[in-house]
Amino acid sequence: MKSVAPASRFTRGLSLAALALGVAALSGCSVNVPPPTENYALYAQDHGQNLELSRLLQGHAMYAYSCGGCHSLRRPAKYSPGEWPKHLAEMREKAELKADQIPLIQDYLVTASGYLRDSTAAAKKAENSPKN
Amino acid sequence: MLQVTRSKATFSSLALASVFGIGLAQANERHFGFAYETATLPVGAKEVELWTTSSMGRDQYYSKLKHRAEFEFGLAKYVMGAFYLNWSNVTAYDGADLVTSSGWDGISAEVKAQLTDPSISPIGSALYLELGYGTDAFEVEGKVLLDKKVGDWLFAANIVGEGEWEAGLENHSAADREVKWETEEAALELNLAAAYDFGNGFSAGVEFMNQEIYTQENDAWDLSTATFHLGPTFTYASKSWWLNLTVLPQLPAAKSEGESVLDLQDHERLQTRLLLSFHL
Repeated sequence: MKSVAPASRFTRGLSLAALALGVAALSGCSVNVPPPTENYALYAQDHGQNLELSRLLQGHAMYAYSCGGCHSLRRPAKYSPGEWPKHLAEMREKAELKADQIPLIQDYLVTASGYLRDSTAAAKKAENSPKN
Repeated sequence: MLQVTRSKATFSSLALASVFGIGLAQANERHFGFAYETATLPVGAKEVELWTTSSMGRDQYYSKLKHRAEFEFGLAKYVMGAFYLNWSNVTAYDGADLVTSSGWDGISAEVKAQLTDPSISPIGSALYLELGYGTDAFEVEGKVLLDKKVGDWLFAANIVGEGEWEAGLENHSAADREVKWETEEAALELNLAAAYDFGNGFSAGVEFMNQEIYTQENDAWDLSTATFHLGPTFTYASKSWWLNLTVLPQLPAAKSEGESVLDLQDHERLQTRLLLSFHL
């Protein structure tokens, strides 16, 4: 039998060190679908939707649980606010969502999409505007 | 002979797929063949996963097709369970000829509990326990699962511990036959994986697997083999089903049985796994 036990310990140590380093680095990265903040609720109110932050947080949690169990969660800004209701309608039956769950998830996704898209557009505009 | 075995295996997988194929819907996507992710099915959701793992190439001719038919279901919020039926076909050189054997390997059950969700937490985590009962062996497998989404990238890491007990018959008289479960071997495994989501359901990445097998001799555990596998993984997920293909060739081993730089007594040169899944 060919025995190279020290090499094994070394490679195992190396593998676990790489794992620990990776976990530490990745846990510092931003969350992919972050929970809504008060700004989301303010954005909704500016657009004629009287949505409390608590409702948006409920929608976010419901989205993560009901949709993330089956597939990778799509980032809210991936689709426009107008596109999300269509995607949700397609998924409603497949995800076996209850009638009261759809509006919660839709309110969160539509608001998050609008807020995140508008924020990104505003940031780009500010970046490109001539500075005095 | 091998062709016949493969045809049977493919046929059985397709037959199961066609039986359950009516009403295809969303399923719990996996992006890796060997590494697990932390996602759990919502309560009430059910799905079927069909596995075929091909393990080829040892010191002498060896080809194994291991099949699993898995039924998964959401048990509680962030907790899912599953049952497996396991069977396999092996063609190996016995010193004189190629011999093919096919058989029933037993049943398994698993439970997975997600502790944190990778999409909404800094890192996803879950605990996984699998129990396997075969005709002459009992297996327990525990895993700590970690995963993380960063933009279009998905990363996963698993730390796996596995123990196997073999049934030894203490007394062969039919009247008072006593079965003594004897420890056979234990394994430690580390899986690291990364995949990039190209959109439209396609993702591709790479998987790494480090496996160490320990055997018990004279009440002492000895490291028997320490192997590494590294290879590509591909997934296509539609709205109604998904499949994953992972190909893991063996890298030079840290400890092997035999004189080869690869361990070709307990492991194979190449492992290929195909997963197909759909919702019920």
